[in-house]
Amino acid sequence: MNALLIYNQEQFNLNNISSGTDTSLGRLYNALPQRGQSLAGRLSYAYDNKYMAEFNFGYNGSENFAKGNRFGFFPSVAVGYNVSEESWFEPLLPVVSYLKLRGSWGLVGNDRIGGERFVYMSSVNLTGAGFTTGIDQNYSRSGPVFNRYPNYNLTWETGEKVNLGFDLHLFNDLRIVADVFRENRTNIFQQRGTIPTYLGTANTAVFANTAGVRNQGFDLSVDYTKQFNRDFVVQMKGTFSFAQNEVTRYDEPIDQQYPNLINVGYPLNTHLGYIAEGLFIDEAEIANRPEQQISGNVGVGDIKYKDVADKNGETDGMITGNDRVRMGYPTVPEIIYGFGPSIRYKKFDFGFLFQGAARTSMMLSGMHPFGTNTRRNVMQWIVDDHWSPDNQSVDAGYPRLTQIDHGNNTAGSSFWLRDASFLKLKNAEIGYSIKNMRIYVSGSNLLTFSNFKLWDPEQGGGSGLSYPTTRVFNVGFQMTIN
Amino acid sequence: MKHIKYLVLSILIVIGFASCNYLDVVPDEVATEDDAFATVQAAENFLYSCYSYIPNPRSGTGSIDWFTGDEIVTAFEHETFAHFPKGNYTALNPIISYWNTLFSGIKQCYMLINNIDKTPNLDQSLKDDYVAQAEFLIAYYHFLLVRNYGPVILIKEEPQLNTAPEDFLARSPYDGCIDWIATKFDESAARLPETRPSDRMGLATSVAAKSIKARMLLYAASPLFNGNSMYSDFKNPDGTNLMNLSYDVEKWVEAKNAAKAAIDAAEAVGHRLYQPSDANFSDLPEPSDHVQRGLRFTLVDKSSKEHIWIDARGEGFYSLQNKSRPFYENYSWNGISPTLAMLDRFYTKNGLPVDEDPEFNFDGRFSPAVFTEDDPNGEGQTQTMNLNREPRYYAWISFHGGYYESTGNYNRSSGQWAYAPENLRGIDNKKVLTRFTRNETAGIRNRANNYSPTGFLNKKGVHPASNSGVGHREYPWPVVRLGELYLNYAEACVETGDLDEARIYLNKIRERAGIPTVEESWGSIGVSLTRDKLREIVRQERMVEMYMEHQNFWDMRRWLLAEEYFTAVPEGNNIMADQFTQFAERTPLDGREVPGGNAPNITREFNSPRNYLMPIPYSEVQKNKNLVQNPGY
Repeated sequence: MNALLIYNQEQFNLNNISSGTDTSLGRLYNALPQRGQSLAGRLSYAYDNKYMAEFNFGYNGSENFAKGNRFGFFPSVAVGYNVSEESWFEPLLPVVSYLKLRGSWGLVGNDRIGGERFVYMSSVNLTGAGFTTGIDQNYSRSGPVFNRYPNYNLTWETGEKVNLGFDLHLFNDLRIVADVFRENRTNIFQQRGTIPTYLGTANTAVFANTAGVRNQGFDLSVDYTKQFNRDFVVQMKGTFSFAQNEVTRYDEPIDQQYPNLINVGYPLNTHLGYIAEGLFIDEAEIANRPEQQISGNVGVGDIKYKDVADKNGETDGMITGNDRVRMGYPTVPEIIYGFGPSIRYKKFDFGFLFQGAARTSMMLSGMHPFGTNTRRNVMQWIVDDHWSPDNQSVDAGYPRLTQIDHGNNTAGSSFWLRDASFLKLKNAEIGYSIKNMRIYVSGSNLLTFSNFKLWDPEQGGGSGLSYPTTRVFNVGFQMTIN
Repeated sequence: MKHIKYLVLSILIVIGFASCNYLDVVPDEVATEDDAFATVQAAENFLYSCYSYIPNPRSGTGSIDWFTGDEIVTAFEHETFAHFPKGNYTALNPIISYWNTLFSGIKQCYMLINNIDKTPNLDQSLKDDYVAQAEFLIAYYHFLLVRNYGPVILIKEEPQLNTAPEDFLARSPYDGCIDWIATKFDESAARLPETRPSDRMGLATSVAAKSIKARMLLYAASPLFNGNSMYSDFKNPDGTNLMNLSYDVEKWVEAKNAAKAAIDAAEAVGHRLYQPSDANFSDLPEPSDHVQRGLRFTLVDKSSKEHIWIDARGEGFYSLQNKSRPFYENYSWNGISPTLAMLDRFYTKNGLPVDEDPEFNFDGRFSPAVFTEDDPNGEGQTQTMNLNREPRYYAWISFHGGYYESTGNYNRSSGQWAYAPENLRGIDNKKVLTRFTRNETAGIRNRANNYSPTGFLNKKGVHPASNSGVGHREYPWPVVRLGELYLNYAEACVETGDLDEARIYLNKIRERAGIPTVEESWGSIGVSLTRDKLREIVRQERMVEMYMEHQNFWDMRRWLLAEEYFTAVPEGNNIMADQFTQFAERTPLDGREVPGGNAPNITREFNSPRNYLMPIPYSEVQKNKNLVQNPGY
């Protein structure tokens, strides 16, 4: 039986008032110490190496909130059960050398919100809005702009986590660790999205703890080590994790005419885009389909979109922002996995690691004709496959090229959505050891297998014009000198 | 014993914990709302912040109604404003939208009215003046909203942040909006001074209030808003009609009375039309022609008595003046060019439209011609349309073979050809000769940008003191001038049948413009001045007089002419040709092949009926269930 009680009080002095800011308010904030105060305790109990229980709590105070909302209570409970230690388990030990079941529940809190300190207070810039008068245009005065309204109710973001898992060792050489988890985050800090600007609030931010997200999934890791003889050892490792989240609360108009646009019920980081149905064949088709209002000047060879029905099942005959739906997988992959062996045979050692991501999508953007207003460039893959009056193919990979930005074709849509899952040979290394020396050849980011061919999908969406991922080859020599 | 020790320790910790205010780090010195009214100076600052929400009329890229009509085309089709003539604006992407700014401005004004009493030592007369100005601004911001969106939400008191969603306000019917705003203008006019001292010019006056009210009533009486059947389905969620579908001539009567009241108020304080003799610029002898001089300086002379309300904010480097002058590397971008449609609106020297004057060769107006020796308006080779035009044409339009009253620091570099010594003309070399064929001084040469798409340039609003190589000359911009009031009055008189009065005021404008009266001009070709004819005349007069003064964008809409004019392909000369006879060819600017290359490709689109009003931002319609979107968006 163990018990622990801690009282913690901390102060952090930046000692550099100009750090990260050049406003007088920023300097004032930098001059004030940052303080935290908390009380934490733990009680743990283990009986006979079989049954374990632990109880933790934290009672944390943050200076970031107003008086009365500063403290949050975050308890947690964990239990573990070493099944393999049970006396009745002994006959199973040669097969199942270790089995432990575990579970936990707890609350955690986050006070790092808003990006700046004292977000609950109002923020006024006394000289934010200026005007000039005078026949010589030389009499100017500036008055206040309200950047942020106060909200004294701001408090801790809370996450409630539940975790169940087991550790299993089979035959003394195979280890499996598995966990299932669910986390419900509530009171997430966000900017209010339901205040109409006719109230005069367009330039003024209002914040509240109104969002919530639920995240759930499982983790699995498998580890196999076998030593066949002194000269031959094989170790294999694999991991797999799956996590899916969903926005449970969000400050936005809930009863929207077009429910496809609301955030609640969808994962974070998903793509909102139009449903593309190919390219326009001719003017008659443009005239017969709903009018596309994303931008003007819609012509033959442009992308045609689907008119999405509203909550009553009616379509409005126009393609506007309310015809976007959530599509594809989030930009943050839902599945991440990896596996690889590590083998030692006599003097050689050999290892490689595959890493992959799945259930993720990306949206192409920014690769449309770019340049100055009268001279435009495109990338080669667009040149090779686009709609043009000479190549009027409705299956072309790129719609018609235009001299000026053409919003109809550059809008995010299923036309530009791509599957971004990939499997990469992340690391590979071969080495040869003699006495106290070893030479090796290794490389990273060696191979990529993916449905997406234009650039490394690990770079993400966009135009692929960002700094590319590097591929490294190394040759090395190690020597130990006593 | 051991347990008691632990217990005591725990208790001590918890007590120590609860007692201190260790986390009270809140600073006291942070600015709050009360600081905004703490001193007399702070109160004046607050007043100025209320004005700051007026959209800057001279923002080259961001002004919704300046470069966006059919008067000009520019070489800057990639800038924000260029989306408007292309019809590229939607509820989700309004491009330029003043909805948010104007409502923020309205709230700021209510805050002033409700809090001004907190200022200690503030003179009562100054306090009344500030409150009256805030009331004027509330009315003005509502007027700007109504002009953009039609019927709007009326903010009659300071809005509260914690309004429940079911209590969000809906739009008020258009007539109700106009009545309420007009009353607000009247109330503030009663308490505003008639003029301001020179360093406070730009603040509201009673004359300004009456003038804007006259403009607003003119719009409200126009065909777009007066008995327009295309708004038959335009209703609030509860079924109230937002637009009155039946024509009411009383609206024109009100517009007429308001215009007359504004004219009387302005003239009583000493406002009058700018005359050539007012242009006392001894260092600027050009334009030397008497009438043209007056017309050129009307807008840019800061001491003009014609200006009723000015905006004193600076024009900025990337705006009208520097974009209009003949090319000078890094200082003048040669890019603001009147279209053929606008050029054709200017009268001949007889004061008649180009297609009605028998002395004018309308069908052959593009053909080459030569300026005679004694013609002061140009020299050498030119086109027929540039001969025998009215003084406003020569004061405000630059053409091949004509002159541009401006100077430039020429130091033999390339990119300064327009200002080379062989091109200098006029008294003290204060103007340059402009030629627009491809390789000439103001031609496109080998540039991909900064060129005139039509082969003409704009001169209105460009101060003759501008010096390429130094920059433009600042002057305060007239938001309302007396000339517009005369035209408002004349238009309202025509619509109410008061034709004699209409002619009197039309003639005041024409006399200043140096052309014969309407009776003389049309009398000479035997056309009688019926009401329909006068309506055409007053509209054309307005299009010419108010060229490039933020009227075209709204006038074409309120006359329901936008679907005709804003969809027409702009036309000009063939700027790609080096040879004059090939240059002087009528060319639609639709990218077609022409001698010398391809013509510029300038798209124009206007979707009737929805583009007559601007779209309300999509997110606002979603947040407020009581707010309906404008029809068609």
